[in-house]
Amino acid sequence: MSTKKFTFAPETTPLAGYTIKRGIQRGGFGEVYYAHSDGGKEVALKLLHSHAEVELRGTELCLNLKHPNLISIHDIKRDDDGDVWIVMEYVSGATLDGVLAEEFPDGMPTTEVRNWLKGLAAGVDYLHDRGIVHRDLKPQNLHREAGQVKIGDVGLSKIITPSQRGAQTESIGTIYYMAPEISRGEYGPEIDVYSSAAIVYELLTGHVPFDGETTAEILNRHLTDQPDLQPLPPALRPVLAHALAKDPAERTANLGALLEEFDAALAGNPVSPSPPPEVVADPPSLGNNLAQPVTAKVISAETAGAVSATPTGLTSHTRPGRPPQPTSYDANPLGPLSPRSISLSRRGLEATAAMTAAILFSGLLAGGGWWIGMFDEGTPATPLAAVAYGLTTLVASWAMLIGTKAWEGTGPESLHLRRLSLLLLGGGAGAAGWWLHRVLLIDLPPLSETQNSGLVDSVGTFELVHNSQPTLTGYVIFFALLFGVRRWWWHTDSFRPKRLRVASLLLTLTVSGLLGLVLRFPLESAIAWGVGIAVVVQLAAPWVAPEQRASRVVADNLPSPETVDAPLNQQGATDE
Amino acid sequence: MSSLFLARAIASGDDHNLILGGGLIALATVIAIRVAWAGRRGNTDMKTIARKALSVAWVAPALVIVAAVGVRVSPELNTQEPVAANTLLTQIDTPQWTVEGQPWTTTSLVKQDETDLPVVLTPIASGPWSSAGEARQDALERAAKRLKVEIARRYGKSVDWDLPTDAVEQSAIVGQIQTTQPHNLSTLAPSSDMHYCVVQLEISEKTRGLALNHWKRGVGVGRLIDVGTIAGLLCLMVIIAHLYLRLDFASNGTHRGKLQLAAISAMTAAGLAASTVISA
Repeated sequence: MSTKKFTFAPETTPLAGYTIKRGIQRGGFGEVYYAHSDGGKEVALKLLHSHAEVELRGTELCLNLKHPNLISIHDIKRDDDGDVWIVMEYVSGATLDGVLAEEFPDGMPTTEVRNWLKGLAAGVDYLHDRGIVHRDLKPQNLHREAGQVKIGDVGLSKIITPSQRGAQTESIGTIYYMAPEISRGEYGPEIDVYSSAAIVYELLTGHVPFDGETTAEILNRHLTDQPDLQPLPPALRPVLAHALAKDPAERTANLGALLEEFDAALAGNPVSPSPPPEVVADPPSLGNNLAQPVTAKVISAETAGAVSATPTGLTSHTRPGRPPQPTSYDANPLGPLSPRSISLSRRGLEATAAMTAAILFSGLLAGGGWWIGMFDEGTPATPLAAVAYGLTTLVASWAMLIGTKAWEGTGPESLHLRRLSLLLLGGGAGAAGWWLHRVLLIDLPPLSETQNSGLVDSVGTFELVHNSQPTLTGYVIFFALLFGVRRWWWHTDSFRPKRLRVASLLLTLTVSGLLGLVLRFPLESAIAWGVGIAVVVQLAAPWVAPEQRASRVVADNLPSPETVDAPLNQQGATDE
Repeated sequence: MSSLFLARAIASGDDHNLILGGGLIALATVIAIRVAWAGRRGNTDMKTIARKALSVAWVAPALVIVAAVGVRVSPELNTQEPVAANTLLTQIDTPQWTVEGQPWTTTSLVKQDETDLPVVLTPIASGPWSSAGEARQDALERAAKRLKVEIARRYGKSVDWDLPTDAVEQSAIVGQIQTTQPHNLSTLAPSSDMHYCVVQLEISEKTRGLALNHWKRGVGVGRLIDVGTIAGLLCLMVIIAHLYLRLDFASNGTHRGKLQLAAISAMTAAGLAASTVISA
């Protein structure tokens, strides 16, 4: 029995026309009550606590749907306090979750699984035919009453048209059954196929295909691991491998097809044989340019608490008799080139945070340089030189952060455009630096002896150096090349290997020095700007620890942690 | 920033800069649109796109405020390309007087300092004056002007600034000589001896530095305040943008209108404060 308290006691009438009899369920979206209408009809009343907008959006779409495998929604009402209630068909039968826990902790017979799958497929395909994706399929939402499978909790459904498949800004659903593409903001009907396949896997084996100690670990396994098909009946392994494919395009087309393959496999006539499951080193969603694989236990006990998942919410899903789950895993960590969905507003938030921090770090750098006499070589040595250096570094760092944050998460396909945009931004930063030095009449330190002649002295009719000082062209070209040559997204991406990489600084030092020699840009200034910008952008740009990246992928999209953390197994188990 | 340079290019009528600057800005705009389009996450609903754009609409007036302050200080921050020394020197009336036995009064000498940089010793002569003191002062003023030309040659023209003659005399004059010569003032007045002064001005890194230090005292501080004001406004705008986005995230957009109002109010206040600083 749950000790959770419901807002309304039995025999109260918070909603006109309905008398509450008992509480059924509390979850992330609100409370569900068993109630009687004034006319005596049994109904389920769902009081929305949070995410009412999301819930209503889905529910309104489903108000007029009629299908024997879907729990009907009768009406949506508001009480005197303005709270939203959904009046639903009451289903007295057990949930699949309960059936599995109580009757089949080690998995169901295939015939029983097929019965559930058949009802699930009929209801979900009905939704898909109308352009609706359920998005929250899980055993707790599947009921059976008088032999009829009923799909509930259509509150998360969402009309999906081909042009809107990527339009979602919120990723919601339950973590054990969440398709990997949701982390990229893709919500096609394939996510229901994946969730259903995960449910079927659980029905057959008694445990979910991907488990872990934390949300991050489970998400990462959805993204990177292949399911362990060994516990499945051999004939069904290709079927589930097909339906649990990471790439939605390679996944079973719909649940009808899944049922067909399921039946055919059991009959010994596989319909669409899938390739045997193999461990894929680089799943398509992550690209091939990731850092070294993590072989150690990624989620430690200390870091487990840092992500939003709570062990309580996850372990409540463990069923008696299930095989022990691995506590560590090998996975490719998410890196700077991992494609992921990041909203523009999130980009803006991160970019402005980094730009704000860059103000501080540029100031410290210029002040520190002045203090150690870095600008004594200027003509003449004054604090103005430090100001000009600091402001130029700040402007360049801002340009760098804007240019790299704009492309973050877009994957390796955009590398050419990234470089081009960085070249342009670098040119702009160089022009700004030149202007600042002219306005404040600051000379850079003199050219070194080795720079009496450079490989490039002019571009067309434009001189790079005049009176031993770089011209506007010199500034623009130096900064443009400095921005364009290095892979600066490795310096600023939230998923970069380390917050500050010394090796990267040394490489930048070398590159900027070489550029200074080639372009006859004063060597000390070239190196000071190259390294200074690299330090500032690395320190200023947000950095997410590797073990927190998987949860971060969806953190921006989740309405609140409770969506994934809510206790999962309460249906029908709670009376006040 | 690039628009500032484009504006400068337009003002100066420099076709090359105009084409180059305009092309780069156009390319940057295309890339920005491409990024924004990629970031729309499949949403082609114009209403949604417009709503998202409106959520950061306050940035436009904020940028206008920064630009207005920038326009206000732009005359003070005007810089021009260095110009040829000959062009500038023709702007100075440099009479020449030969003093017998003193060849340096008519010829520039070129030496090298301890770091092998050139040191030019050039004669600067005064006009005819009725007293020796007036002639000496005139020569020193011409020498100061010549040093300012040197600064303009190196760094571009600047707004007017003072280079005290006593400082020039102490640090940049290595020799001077007074002389008198008969002068017919007019047909009515009898011939009279007029006073002349020739000073030998050192033009070197040392004296250029001297002049530059005076420039910094006279103009540099003001420019620093102007540049600092613009930079401060930009920094403030970034900080406000960050706070706005953070609060908007935290409140799920429910207070967006109020936050936009607060952001633009803060920028307006900052713009007014910046104007006050500049005016002072």
